[in-house]
This record gives sequence, C-alpha cells and structure tokens, in this order.
Amino acid sequence: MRKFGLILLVALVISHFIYLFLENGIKKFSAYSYPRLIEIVEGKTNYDVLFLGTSRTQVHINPRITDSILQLNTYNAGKAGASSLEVRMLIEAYLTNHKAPKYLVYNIDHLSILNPDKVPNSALYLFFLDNEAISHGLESTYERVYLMKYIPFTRIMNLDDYYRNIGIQGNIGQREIQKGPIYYKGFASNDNSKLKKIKITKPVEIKVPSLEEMNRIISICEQNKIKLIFHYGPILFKNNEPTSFQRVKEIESLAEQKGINFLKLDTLKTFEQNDFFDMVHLNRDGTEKYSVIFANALKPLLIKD
Amino acid sequence: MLFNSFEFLLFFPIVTALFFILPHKYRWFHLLAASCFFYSFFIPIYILILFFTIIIDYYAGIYIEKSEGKKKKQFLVMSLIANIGILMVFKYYNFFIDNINTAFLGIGMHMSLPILKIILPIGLSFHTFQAMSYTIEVYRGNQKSEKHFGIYALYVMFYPQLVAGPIERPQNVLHQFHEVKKYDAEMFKSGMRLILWGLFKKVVIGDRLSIYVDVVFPHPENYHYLNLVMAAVFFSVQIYCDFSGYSDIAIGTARTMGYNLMTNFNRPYFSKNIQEFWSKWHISLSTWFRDYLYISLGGNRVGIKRMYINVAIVFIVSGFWHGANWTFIIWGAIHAFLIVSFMLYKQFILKDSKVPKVLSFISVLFTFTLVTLAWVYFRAGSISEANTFLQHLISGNTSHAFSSYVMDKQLGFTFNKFSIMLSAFFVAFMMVVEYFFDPNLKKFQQYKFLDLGFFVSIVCFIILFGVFNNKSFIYFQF
Repeated sequence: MRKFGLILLVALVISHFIYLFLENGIKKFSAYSYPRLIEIVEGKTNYDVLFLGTSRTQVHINPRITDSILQLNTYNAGKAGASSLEVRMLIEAYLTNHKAPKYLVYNIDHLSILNPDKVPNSALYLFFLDNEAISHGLESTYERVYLMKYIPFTRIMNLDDYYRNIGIQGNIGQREIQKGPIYYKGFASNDNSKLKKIKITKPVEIKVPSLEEMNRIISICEQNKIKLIFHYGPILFKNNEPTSFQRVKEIESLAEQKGINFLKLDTLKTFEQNDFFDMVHLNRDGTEKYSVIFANALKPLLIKD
Repeated sequence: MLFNSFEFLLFFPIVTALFFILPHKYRWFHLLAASCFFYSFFIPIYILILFFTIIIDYYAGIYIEKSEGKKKKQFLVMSLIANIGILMVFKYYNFFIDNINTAFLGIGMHMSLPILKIILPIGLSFHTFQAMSYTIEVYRGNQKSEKHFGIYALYVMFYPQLVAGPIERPQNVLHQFHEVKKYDAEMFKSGMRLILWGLFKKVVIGDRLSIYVDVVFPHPENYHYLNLVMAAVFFSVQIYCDFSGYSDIAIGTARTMGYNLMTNFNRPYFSKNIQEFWSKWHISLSTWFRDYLYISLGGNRVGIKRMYINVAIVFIVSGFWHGANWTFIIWGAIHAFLIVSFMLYKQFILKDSKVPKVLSFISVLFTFTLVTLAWVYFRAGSISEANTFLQHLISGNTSHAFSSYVMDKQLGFTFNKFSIMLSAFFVAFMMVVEYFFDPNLKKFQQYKFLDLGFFVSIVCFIILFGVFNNKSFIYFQF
C-alpha cells in the first residue's frame, strides 16, 4: 500500500509539472485574451467607462475612438458569448481591485435576458480563482472549484482538447493574435472581410426570458453609484427580427421602469452588408465607423451628468 | 454512484480500508451497507425492487433445494416469473404498449393504452440475470442454496458489479463471501492496476470519442460520409472502452478486497471471425445465454436446422435484453444472421481447413467492420436514424464538407484534430498493452520497472488527458 502511495505521489508531481507547462502555454497563446482578463480582474488602472456585453461589444467598440470623443478613459471588457451571469461576475471581479467606473455601458443581447446556469468558455477564468467573485461565479459551472483553487493541476481536468492543444502551441511560439484585426484596451476587431452572402438562420428562441441576473447587475451599479446605460448595436435586421424584437422589448420596458438610458442603434441605415463580417458582427471598417457613431450618441448621455 | 466520479474517489478507499479493519464476521454487513449506499446514489427508492427480488430468490433457493419433482420446478418458475415480471414492468411494458398503440393506429383504431411514467432502474437487467442464475443453478443442483440472508443479498448487490456486471454465477462468487480475506499486497496491486486501466479506457478514450459520436450520430444527413465512417469507428472503440473499462474497474475493485470476478472481455476486436468475437465480448452475458437459454432450447443436441434457429433466438433475445427498442432487436438479428452465416460457411465451405495466417489480419479487419456496421443500430436513436446513417455512409454523401471539428454545445467540449491525434495515440497504446498482456494485466507483475512506468503513466494520462464530463457508462441504461 505504501509503495502504491509513492507511485501515486510521483504521478501527481509529474502531472503538476506538465500542468504548469500547459498553463504557461495557454497564457502565452492567449496573448490578447489573458492580459485583458488580468487587466479586468487584477489591473490597477481605474477607468471612467466600462463597456460590457458579448462579442458584439468586444468587436464593435474601439476605445481609441471613444477615449478621444468622450475625453474619458474607457475600457472594452466585452466577452464572446457572455451571459448576464458572466457579465455580473466580471463587474464584481473588476470592482474587487478597481475604483467603481462612472459609467457602465452594457450591450444587450439575447444572452442578457436569460438565466444560464453556466459560464461558457470559462477556461481562462480558472487562472483567476484567487478572486472571490470569479471563484464564486464559477461554482455553477464547475464542480469543486475549491479543489481547483488549492490543487492547481486539477484545473486541467476541466479543460477540453482545444485548451490542451493551445497549451502546447503557446509553448512553441504560436499566438492567438492575428494580423488583420485591431487590438486596443480590451477591444479586438474582426478583420476586414466582408459578408458575402446573407444567411437566413433560425433566430435564437428565448422561451422563458428572465431578468433576474440583469436586476442583480442593476443593483450592483446602484450600490456602487455607477451609471448604467443599455446599448443595442447594429445587426443585419432581416435575420434577427423576431429575436431582436423580443429582447429589445424586454429591455426597453426594464430600462423605462428603472430609469436607465437605452442607446438603441440597431436600425441605423448607415450600415450595409459591406460593413458586416457576419450577420451580427461588423468588420474592421464597419467597427471604425460605428465606434464614432456610438461615441457621439453616448456623449450627450454622459454630459448630462 | 459512478466509478468515474469524485464521490467514488472517496468511497472506494474508505470502503476498502474499513473492509480490512473490520473482523470477518462484520464484513458482509459492511459490504452490503456500502452497496446500498452506492446504489442509492441513483434513485434511492429503487432499492426496494432489489430487496423484493432478493427476498423472493432467497426463499426460492431454499425451497427449490428442499423440494423434489414438480414442486421444485414450481418454485423455480415462481422465482423466474418474479424476476422477469419486474423486467417486463420496468423495462419492456412501455415498449409493448407503444407498439400495440401503433398497431391499433395502423388499422385505423384510435385506442391509446396508458404508458407508465417511470425511469428504468439502473442496471436492472444485470442484477435480475444474476439473481436468476442463482435459482437456476440451485435447481440444477450445481449450487447449494445460501442460508445466510445477508450473504445472499450481497451476492446480488455486491457494489462493484451491481449495475453493469460482470453477471456472476453463484458457484464463482458466493463461497468467496464466506472466506476470510486477508490483505494481499499482490492482489491489491493487481486490483489497482485494473481500476486505473479501466478508468483510463473510460475517461481518456471512451469519453473523448463520445464527444464526436454524440454530435454526429443524431444528424447523419449533415455530415460528409467520412465523418460518418469516423463516427461509426469511434463508437466501436467508445463502447468497448466504456464497457470493458467498467468491467475492469469492477473486477479491480473486487480484487483489492481479495474477491475474484469473472473476466468479461478478452480483446474482442482482435477476433478473426464473429463467433470468436462473441466468445470474447461481454463474456458473462454470452455464457449466461449459452448456459440458461441456448442449452434450455436444446443447444446443439438437436437437429442442425433447429440448432441454427436456437442460435438466432439467443442473439435476438440478447439484443432485446440490451434495450426495449427495435434498434436493439435489429442489432441482435444482424448478429444472429452473421453468426449463422459464419457457422454455415465453417460447416460447408471452410470445413476443417484453416485460414492461412496471411489472411488473419484481413479477417480481423473484416470482423471489426461487420461489428462496427452493426453497432450503428445499437447507437442510433431509432431505426430510421440508423438507416439514414448507413445510407449516407454507403452512398458516399459529400453534400457537406468533411470536418474534423465538432463541439458538444451542452458540455462546451470541443473535438478537433488534436483530439483525433490524442485518440489515435491512446488507442494504439491500449491495443499494444491488450495485445501483449493478459486481460487482467497480471503479466505486468513479471516486469517490475515496466509495471512502475505503467502505473505512473496511466495516472498521469488520466489526470492530464481525461475527459471529466460526468458521463455515465453506456451499459448503465440496460
């Protein structure tokens, strides 16, 4: 039995070192995603305006433009596929090490009116389990978060082959950063490819919309004296009409009820197929154009204060 | 409780340590209590079904032994009716009702017999068959009835093999529960080796391949035919790793406490023909059907035509044993056809001549291909799904591009080129180990350094490359 214990110990030590190698590779490969999470969770710079939401925040709002038009320090903390649960976790994580921002602009999506029980694409958060907001926020996604916190190599048991692969790729010099897109203060545009064909896909069906998490975000903002602004960016309307209608309606009434400004910019005629990378995301030129429109539309709401 | 769960990681060492600490006379109770706890992790109330059959079969065994002639048979029949009755209610009732309702609809009658809203008790077919083998063996005089109620209950409920076998025979297991077991370092090591090996097959290979299989199988029309070929082959490997992995863990767990369970798999995919395959795949079930159904039907003591019919019946019933769905019956029927065809080929064409060695490899590949194609019916949700799958596969559907990337949206797990590389490496590793070593991996004891390396690398593989999505074992549903 003692011999077997020794074998186990040797295997665990080896696993730990291989894990460290893979963790190092994942961090290096995620040359855009990882540093921005460090900035959000552990960074010391205080921002005036924080942009939150899904990929439609991440790839649509360029802080270089918003900084210059608003004359404020802005940061893009949008994350692909972020649900309201994840957005709340990010705000809480941000507030643990930063002064509360003056404004929080939350881009509405169908994920904003759902109450998902999991944080998707959450692998990189596993490197931030010392942050209470993150470890608490991931409890619904992973079993036994405490184990991953105190025995780091167990984190690998929750990663899929994509992360195992980039763990190796990162160590041999591969990076996620590409040549086409623009990267700046959390923002990462698409490249300049143009949408070739309009694909009519089935809109996302929201059977039971829920504003529970959204209400939590509102109350966090109230407690921290953050002005919350809802925002809805451009989409190729033909495809998303039913979903858009539903989500906008829900949020509009909530905004009205809570006295929250709603920057509704989805039906701008300025944007055509050529400005889009896909059905719901602008390409690089489209983003540059939109960031200017967005910042100018946002400006009066901030000046009012 | 799943063998691949965190709970089992705690449960196993505690139960095993307590087993050796406790004096022999309390061990049966300890193991029985542990088995109840293990089973109650699924649906606790269903433990009553187990108690019901245990009580019936316990007394049936005693009365069968005491009685003679017709009465003896009556007690056996009573026990079989109780066991099969439970199977019928919980597993097959809805299937029959559903088919009757469909038949009525087919002849224009809108009659709808009520469907039961029940969940199939986990491992029902396994422990029912194990219980039945006890009363049959007592009836045949091969086994004395067990007088100790607790030990009999433990025979049915012994947690390592309670929910997915191996389906044990009383002659092999019952006497072991009476024996005083002392800690044996070699037995313990051998058990641990099997547990780790089983876990490796399940979480590193089986569950990895299942990501791909689970995405592709329900929508074969959306995939290139090569994707379908991959999915079919992956499922063949997955089901082997899943089920033989479970058996290895079960046998290994029992062995750490000094109990020997029967071998359930013996490198089936190295078989050169379908008959050999069935002598190596799920051995405890195949031999169960041979001993209790095939022989009862007359076996090969009857005319040749009747013998082939008996073989076909056994395989169709075996298919139906797996699940109350036409897909399983068809799967059984395909194997019945394959095995009868092979027997005819052996009898009339091959005769006594042996297959040349050069053709062995081709025979193995051919057998694997046949088994893989038959698995499509086993895995598919319905006959039409299986037909669509095979139709797109055979016709070489290229209307969709080949893709090596899929994502299980529910789990958030991806399967990509790297997964294919990992799977290929680990499958090759498994094949080498299983080809050169015996099914229980006892041969490793002869090579100390190799054994050490094996242990260390398997633990590392499980930790670093395991897919921990809490996926249940495929055979639990049976």
